[in-house]
Amino acid sequence: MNRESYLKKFHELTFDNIKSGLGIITKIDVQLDNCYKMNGSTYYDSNKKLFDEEQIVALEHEISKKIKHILDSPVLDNKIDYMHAALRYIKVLIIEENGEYIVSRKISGNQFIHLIIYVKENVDATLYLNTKTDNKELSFTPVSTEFIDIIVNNRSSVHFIELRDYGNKYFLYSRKKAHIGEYANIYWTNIEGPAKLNITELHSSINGKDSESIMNTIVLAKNSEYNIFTRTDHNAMNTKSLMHAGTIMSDSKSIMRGLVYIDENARNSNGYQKTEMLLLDNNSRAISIPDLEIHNNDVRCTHGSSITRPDAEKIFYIQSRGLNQEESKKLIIKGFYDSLLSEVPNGLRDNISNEIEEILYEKK
Amino acid sequence: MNVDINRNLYDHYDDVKEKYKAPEGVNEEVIRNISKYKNEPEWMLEKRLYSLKIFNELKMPDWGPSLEKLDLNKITYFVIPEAEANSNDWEKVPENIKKTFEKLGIPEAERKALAGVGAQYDSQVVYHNIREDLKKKGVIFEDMDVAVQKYPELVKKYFMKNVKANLHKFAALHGAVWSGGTFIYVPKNTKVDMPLQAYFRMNTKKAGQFEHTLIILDEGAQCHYIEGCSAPLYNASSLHAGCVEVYVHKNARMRYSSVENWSKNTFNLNTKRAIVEENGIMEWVGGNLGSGCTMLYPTSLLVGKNSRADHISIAYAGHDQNQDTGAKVYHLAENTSSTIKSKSISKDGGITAYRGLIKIVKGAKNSKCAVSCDALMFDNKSQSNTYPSIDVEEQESDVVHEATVGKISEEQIFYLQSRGLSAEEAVKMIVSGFIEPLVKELPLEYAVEMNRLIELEMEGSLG
Repeated sequence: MNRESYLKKFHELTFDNIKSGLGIITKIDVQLDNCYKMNGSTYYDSNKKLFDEEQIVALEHEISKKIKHILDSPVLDNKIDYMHAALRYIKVLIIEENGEYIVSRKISGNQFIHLIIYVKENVDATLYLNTKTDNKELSFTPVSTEFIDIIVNNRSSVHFIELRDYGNKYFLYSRKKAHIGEYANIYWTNIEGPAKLNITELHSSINGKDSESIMNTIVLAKNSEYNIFTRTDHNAMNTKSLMHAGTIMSDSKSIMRGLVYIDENARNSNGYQKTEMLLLDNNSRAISIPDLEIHNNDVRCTHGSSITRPDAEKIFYIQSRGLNQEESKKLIIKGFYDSLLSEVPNGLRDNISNEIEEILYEKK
Repeated sequence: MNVDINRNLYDHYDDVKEKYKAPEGVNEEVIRNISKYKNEPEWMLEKRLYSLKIFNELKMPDWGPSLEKLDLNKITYFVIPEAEANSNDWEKVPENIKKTFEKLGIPEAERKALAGVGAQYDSQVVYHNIREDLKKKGVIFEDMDVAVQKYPELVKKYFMKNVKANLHKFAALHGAVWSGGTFIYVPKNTKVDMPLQAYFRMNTKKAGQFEHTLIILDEGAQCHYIEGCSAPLYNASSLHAGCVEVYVHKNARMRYSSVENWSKNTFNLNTKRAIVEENGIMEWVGGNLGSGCTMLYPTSLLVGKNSRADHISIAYAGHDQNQDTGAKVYHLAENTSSTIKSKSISKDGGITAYRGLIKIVKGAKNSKCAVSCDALMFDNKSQSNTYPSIDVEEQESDVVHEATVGKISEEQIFYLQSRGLSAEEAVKMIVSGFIEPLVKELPLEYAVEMNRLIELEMEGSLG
């Protein structure tokens, strides 16, 4: 299919609400039909090797084949997926050497981005993606579709950190997927800042044996609505995964769905999933759906989920050590999100922790 | 694996003549006939016809196990065996029906440990009895059909008020064609110290059983009710769409236990719901062993403050079985608490799923809920799924959920072998330990039966 046929299909389809389980739905009341006519722009302030779509053919055959394959078989679950496939603006980043890669972006207006990150074999890299908007007042609800595919080839190891702060006006629709080869590792840290509505799927697909995926997700829900779906597929033997999601909520509605899927062939696999939701006020609605689908008995798979508030006893204890109530509460919240930054390399951690604090307390 | 031994008891079918059998399928005529046969009052017929209307409007569920093989037009919705209804003299029950229930141990159970017993065969209750002293205290334990005639006011007040016809398609179907079942009323501050029991047996080929169980506990009452179910094995599918409604009034305490062991071509699409008022306690204890496809999610609505619900369940799925079970709890008042313990075993390509919903609405302060699901898997043809949903609107509440899936560890087996057990005995022992939290909640004879059933199902399963 080409862009025209995707667009045609987009116009044909009616929009269904997103269903997440027994009677739990996310309604989308954003006007989509004309948004593609008001394309915005993205500014990348990095001079790293970002390729455009036309340049893909010039890449090594093996690389361009894999990238083409992903682009030619997009996920097409609903109307927005078709819109994205029709309008996507493709960028490719090839990582060939060990090191730290930082990509910052500033976004304005409507955006339809598809970023493909290709990590070659035997590479140990850290990638930090920072996305912000230009905060201009707009007369409409801006829409951003953001798809990221990370290809982690055999024996490579990637720390992938993304911090997104769209401000609470945007409708953000996003899919991030890691394709993991043999003896490879990915350590994700996804930090989702506020958005008017954020529908995101974070997907680790472990396709090669002896590989590992650790996915930490922090959701900073402030006057926002989220539907976050984290999933890990074990498609090969001796694979390990951990998904840990933490949500800090005020004035928000948040659906956190998780799925660990273990295939018939994934012998000796180990999956763990943990969802924690921290309610800071009484105006929020927290929904947690940690699913498991297991098709092999030679596995160990567990999950835990909790929905709580900052513990009054802990606050009291910290106050007894000389802090006031506000500070005590902040300290507990900091403990909550700092534990999810364990996979961020040392040099970046303080930076990111500060940014989270900024999102939580300083901006209105 | 030798499954013949244990299933024989349940899978044999009895050659009992039926007195009346409705044509296949469901329509207004069938329903008018059922109502006429039962000599029901007009309001009940109206309820049935209203349910039928809703049934025709509603869609089949688009989630969960596939119901493609279930042809609702091929099911016989009403069958009356050649037996006197509601006999309270065991001798009057026809010989072959009696034999079946004797095989299943019903009269024996009554003599030993029960305060009352009911036995339903296809669409009709054939035997009903209750201890005299309880009768004097005002406890009612009756066939549901009789209750409609004898206690119309009570029935009218409660019947299908909790499980409404528009809840889902099979609740509507049930409302239209329901027949038989149990009616229990325990008056204020009365305690029924021994369990009441009913046994449901579906015998006719391609038939459906739609028993309605209505339990009302007045303020401060206490009661334990046990249900056992089975059906013989035919080539064609049959359907069980029963309904259990429980009303737990202020300070009352109810325990409902059931062991459902339908044959493997039965679709078991059951609805169970309890409303719990202030300080009330509702306990669900359930085992699902048979049936090809089960969709069963006992529900507790905690409407009064300080009320509590405990759910304990176990599901076993062998070859060609899909056990989709779970629990739903709605916390609708302050200081409500609930616990859910779910255990499942899957083997030989069986599928088990825990599907649950916990809802804490705004204002249900200090509500607490703990859910734990454990699954054992025996091979990599089987599947074990967990789909819990937790929906919280109240900050001052605590919800925790945990689940584990895995196999029996080699180390555990090795350890038991070192203590002199064979590998097979070791597996049996570990499985017994795994299901213990449920089994210890059942009355003795059921516990023994449950253990034996699972042990037999497990035979030769190591490898």
